[in-house]
Amino acid sequence: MTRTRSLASGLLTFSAAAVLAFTSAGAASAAPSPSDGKANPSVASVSVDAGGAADYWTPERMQGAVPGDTLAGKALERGNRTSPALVEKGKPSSTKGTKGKPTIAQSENPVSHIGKVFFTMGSTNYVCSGNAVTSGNRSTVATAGHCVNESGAYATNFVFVPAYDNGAAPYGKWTAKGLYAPSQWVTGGDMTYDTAFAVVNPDSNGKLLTDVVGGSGTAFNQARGLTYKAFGYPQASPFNGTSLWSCTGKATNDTNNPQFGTQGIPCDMTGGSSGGPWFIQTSSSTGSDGLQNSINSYGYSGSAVMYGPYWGSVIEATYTNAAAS
Amino acid sequence: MQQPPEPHPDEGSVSHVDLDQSPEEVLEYWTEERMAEAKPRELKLPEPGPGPAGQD
Repeated sequence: MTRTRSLASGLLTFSAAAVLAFTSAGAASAAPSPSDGKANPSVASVSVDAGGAADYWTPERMQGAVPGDTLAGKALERGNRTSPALVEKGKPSSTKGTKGKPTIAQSENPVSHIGKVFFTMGSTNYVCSGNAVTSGNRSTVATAGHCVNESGAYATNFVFVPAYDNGAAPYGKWTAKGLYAPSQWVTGGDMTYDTAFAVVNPDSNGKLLTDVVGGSGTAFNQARGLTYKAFGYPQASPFNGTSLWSCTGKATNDTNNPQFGTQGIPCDMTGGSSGGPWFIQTSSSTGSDGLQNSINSYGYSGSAVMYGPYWGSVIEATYTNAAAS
Repeated sequence: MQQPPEPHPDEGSVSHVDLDQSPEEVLEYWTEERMAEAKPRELKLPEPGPGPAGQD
């Protein structure tokens, strides 16, 4: 026998499911009461106060949520039924679909040497992005200056998590033992030099970072106007920081603040992507295989351009000091 | 609260700091909850204003 349900019973089931979902998950607030629809007597509805719902759904609660088909089974057990004739009456109708606003940034699979960095400044915990680079100590990570030092004060609790993906850390967490930044960034916050390098400890087995995850080559004092692919873990809306994203484009100078000497590419990655690597794109070296030549540094409100510092001799000296430590 | 480490004296164009925290201490600090709640660091400059009127 074919089982059918009326629109009313279907929506009632949905409403009941919503109520059950709230209550079975711990009932952060009292369940709302359903009301009969006045415009259409076959429709029931409920008003839900959305305030606090976003805060309620922590990652732990989302992981522990019971699959909804459990509720569908319960609805079937209740045995609400109606005749097929009632279900099929009415004129054909449809509504148009809509698409969310697309992002310039493209979703990427994890890359072993690109990851998130977590650190503390003052009493606040922050997250940025970073990339392991080839170095003499095989333990050097490139990131943004503003991810290691603010107004002369260095970060603490600094850790690099390569290939981070939705909470997973497949290559472990690598703690920093030294942080290096251009003096011009540390003493004056000069945007020209918003780059830093962290030197990390060996892991618990004594292995060194780039022996485990690999490392990107670096390039300094290159031509301007190259084509780059930038990677990062944007976390601010509309992103959520769970996965890797990228932007690709030809670099142009920042005409708003030419004194910075920075270059920008079309990109709408948000906070959290700071410090992510820019790789030079050539016919023989593409994607994350290219040489690193800058990092995600800053953008302007209302503009979808990501700017990165020009890696000249000062940033080269910073890398050289870190890599040899 | 952990005090910010003191940077080394001026070494030309490069500043650096040695962190004296043990790896175990740092790894213990970063609980899943703290990682999930860490704020994205962001440098967003004000939207550039229009150029001077009458100039192309």
